[in-house]
Amino acid sequence: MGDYSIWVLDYAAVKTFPQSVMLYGPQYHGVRNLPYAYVLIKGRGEVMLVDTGYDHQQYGKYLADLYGVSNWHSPADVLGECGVTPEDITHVFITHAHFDHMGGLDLFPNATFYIQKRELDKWIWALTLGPEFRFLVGAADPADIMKATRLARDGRMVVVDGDREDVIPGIDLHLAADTHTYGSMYVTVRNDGARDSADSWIFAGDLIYTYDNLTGLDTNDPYLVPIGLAVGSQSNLLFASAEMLKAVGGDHRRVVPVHEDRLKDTFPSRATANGLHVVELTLATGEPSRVG
Amino acid sequence: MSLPDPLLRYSVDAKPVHDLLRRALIQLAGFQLKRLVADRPGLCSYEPVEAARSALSEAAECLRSLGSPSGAVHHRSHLQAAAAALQRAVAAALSRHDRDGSDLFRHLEDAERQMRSVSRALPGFGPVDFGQACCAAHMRLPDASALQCSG
Repeated sequence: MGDYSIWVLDYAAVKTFPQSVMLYGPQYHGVRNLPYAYVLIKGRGEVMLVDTGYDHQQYGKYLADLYGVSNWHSPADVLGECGVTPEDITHVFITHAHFDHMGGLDLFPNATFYIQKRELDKWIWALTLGPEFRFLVGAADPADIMKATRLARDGRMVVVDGDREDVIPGIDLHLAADTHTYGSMYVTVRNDGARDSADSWIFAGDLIYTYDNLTGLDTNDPYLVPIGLAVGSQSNLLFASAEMLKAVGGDHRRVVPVHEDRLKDTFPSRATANGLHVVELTLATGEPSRVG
Repeated sequence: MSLPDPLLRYSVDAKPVHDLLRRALIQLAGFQLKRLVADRPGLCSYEPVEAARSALSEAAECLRSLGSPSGAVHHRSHLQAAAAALQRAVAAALSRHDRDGSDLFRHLEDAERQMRSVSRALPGFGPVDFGQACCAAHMRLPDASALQCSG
């Protein structure tokens, strides 16, 4: 048993997401279910999230009607499945500035948030380029920037410049520059606390959408395949993937893509009454299972 | 929801104004955010402020020629109020007397409120363009037949 308990918690889904966005290449190979999820990390007196989800109050119906995002549930409902409230959250690591990962900044009133400096800098820079470059900024929400500004004013926004070890004991932040976004970040939990850990988990944000990005589609001849949506380069995505795999000793299941529908079949899990899933990656000493 | 013709015309003409104001708000908020988190705030680039000023100048021209048919008066008034708040925000960003950015932030919050009212007053003026979002990747070709090659 390690220092931290870790769960991946669905909060919404797109039922028909094109495979070609999740995995570069297969253009006419249909669709997959794409869960929206965040990661709950609990232990050593801290309750942490990787990403925030988005604020359904503002955009839920719009997203549901136009893009098929369905079954959104609030952090109170989703975290409640693990006996946690939004007020309990102490730290949130934002992997990148897309609305489904950062749009819930004001849903966790006691948390301190961490984001890469490069993500903020380049996001703001891209917004000065004019509407013909709007692909580069994704779904930039003025409300998100305003929320981030309020947090910065209140001293609750920590801007990380590159890699940072032990931001919380055993938790490291890594910059994966010019990949899915300009300043994407992945989070490593060294659950035995050792520097050269034999019990590491990595939360990859959208550097990978599926395990297939780490293994390819040919199980007899595994290879790295980038996602199909990047403002940076495919090379950078591949090198980031290789780095993440190396850090977990090659066990691809420990590089966790929150949009992977098969997480619930890979780890112990249960469906909730709301039709979402609680996926239990590991439990710290004394922590009861939430899927048993 | 379908709109009568004059209101539809107004919506088409008002959309670029809305987009310019939205951009200016993001740019100014981004500038303020960078200033707040910078080790040396005095060295922050004013490029976003200049870009916002340029967008606001363009928006002001469009606003002057924008009609005001029945049913759009309320919407137009919020667009104008947002533009005015953003102009004040630019002035605050460039002012030597607002070193902590409190005036800038106050004007940005005012502009944000006005933009929310804009988005509620008529359909099609949401604050976020989700057209480039990850979840929208499967919705970018609404009429695939229009792309068929005739040769």
